[in-house]
Amino acid sequence: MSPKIESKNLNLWYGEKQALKDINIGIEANKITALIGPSGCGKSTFLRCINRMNDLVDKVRIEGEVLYDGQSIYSRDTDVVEIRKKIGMVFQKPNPFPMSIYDNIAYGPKIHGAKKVDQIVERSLKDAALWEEVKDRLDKPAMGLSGGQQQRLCIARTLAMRPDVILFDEPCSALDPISTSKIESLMEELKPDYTEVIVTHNMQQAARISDCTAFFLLGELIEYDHTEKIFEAPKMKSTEDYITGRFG
Amino acid sequence: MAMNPYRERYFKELGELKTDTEELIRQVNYAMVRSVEALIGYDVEKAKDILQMDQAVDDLNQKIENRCMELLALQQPMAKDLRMIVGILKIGIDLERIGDLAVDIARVTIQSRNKIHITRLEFIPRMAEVASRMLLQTAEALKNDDSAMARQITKWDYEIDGLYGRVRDKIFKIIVNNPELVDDATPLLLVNRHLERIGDHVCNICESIVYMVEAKREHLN
Repeated sequence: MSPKIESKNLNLWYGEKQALKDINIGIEANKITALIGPSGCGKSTFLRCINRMNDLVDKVRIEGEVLYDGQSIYSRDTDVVEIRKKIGMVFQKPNPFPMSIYDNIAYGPKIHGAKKVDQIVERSLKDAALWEEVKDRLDKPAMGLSGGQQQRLCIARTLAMRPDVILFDEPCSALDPISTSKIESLMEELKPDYTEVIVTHNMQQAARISDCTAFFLLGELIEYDHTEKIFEAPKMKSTEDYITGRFG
Repeated sequence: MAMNPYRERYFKELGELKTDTEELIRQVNYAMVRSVEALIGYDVEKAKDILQMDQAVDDLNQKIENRCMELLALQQPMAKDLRMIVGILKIGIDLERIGDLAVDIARVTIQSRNKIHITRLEFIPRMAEVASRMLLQTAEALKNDDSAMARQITKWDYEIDGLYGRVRDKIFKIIVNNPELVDDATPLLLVNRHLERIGDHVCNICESIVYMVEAKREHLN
């Protein structure tokens, strides 16, 4: 089976500084893939390449290819808006719009001219395991939700666009263990319908939830394998040193 | 950047886990060697000492096990650290069994007081000698993360298995020819069996060392 997302010889520079070096990786559909590595290793940069979020950064230069279902997403005729619709993203800090809970979800579908917005809102909130907690206060400001609820709202907002791939950039780093557990359960529930990629600094989280793990260091992809292999018997010494805390 | 002091302590504790296990190997080896010496020399007092010593073996094993649990709970070890802790826990089980088998051999001596030894036991000390060499080498292999040595050690078990067969046949023959000696002979069959089992436990320990070092699960016996 060909991968859902594939990068081929992907290189990226921020000005003079090279942040990604020849990244070759195939991310499989309906799996959770974790990207781990120390700060500045390129894992978030790589994540943002998958839905062309780096286009928004000044002085960025990208070489190589990223394929989504075999199609290059960096080719001239790619519709970037369509790509970001299909490849949604959830960020580290929950970032609900300063609107009601309902409007947070309805905003995207409405812009895209969706009908039956009520149904989309309900379905998205249910899929994000938030519906029961908010169904009686949909008109209340989203900012009034707890951090964990806000993050699930952001996931619901992403789901409302019916994406195919969801990118998570440290989605639990600002959350307590209970909220973290809810997000993790949600990610597991979403797996049959979505391809998920998560950047996390929490290695236990990567070990717990992901099927495959990629270890990045200094802009390079050092090792990519099944998660149990990475955490039980990594091939590369630098991977082992990192996951066993032998640094500094 | 200096190493985080918590991590430093963790690595130190991992190291101590290994040295404690090496010490446990030496204690268990001592008990086994002495138990066979006591048997051969009809030395009941020496045999009784082994029963006393077993408590120290159990205590050290318990200490190692507790530390493993603590490191698992508090440090979330990964990769080779995780394999090491799992390996040490498994090695502890085998060592504890070897210690128990040494005690069982000592009990045979204690209970055989005033009984005539029915056969010259030339093969039994040889089995103990081989088992002891194997055991002491596992301590080396463990200390040096030497999986090649661990594999090599298991080859000695063929000799133990061969001796086991010869001792068993010899005792059977005595029983057949002298049925009145059956009560005296049966405990020796047990000793023979215990030493053969000790060889198997040492092979298990070698398998654990290979797993710790190479992450490979091999059946070495």
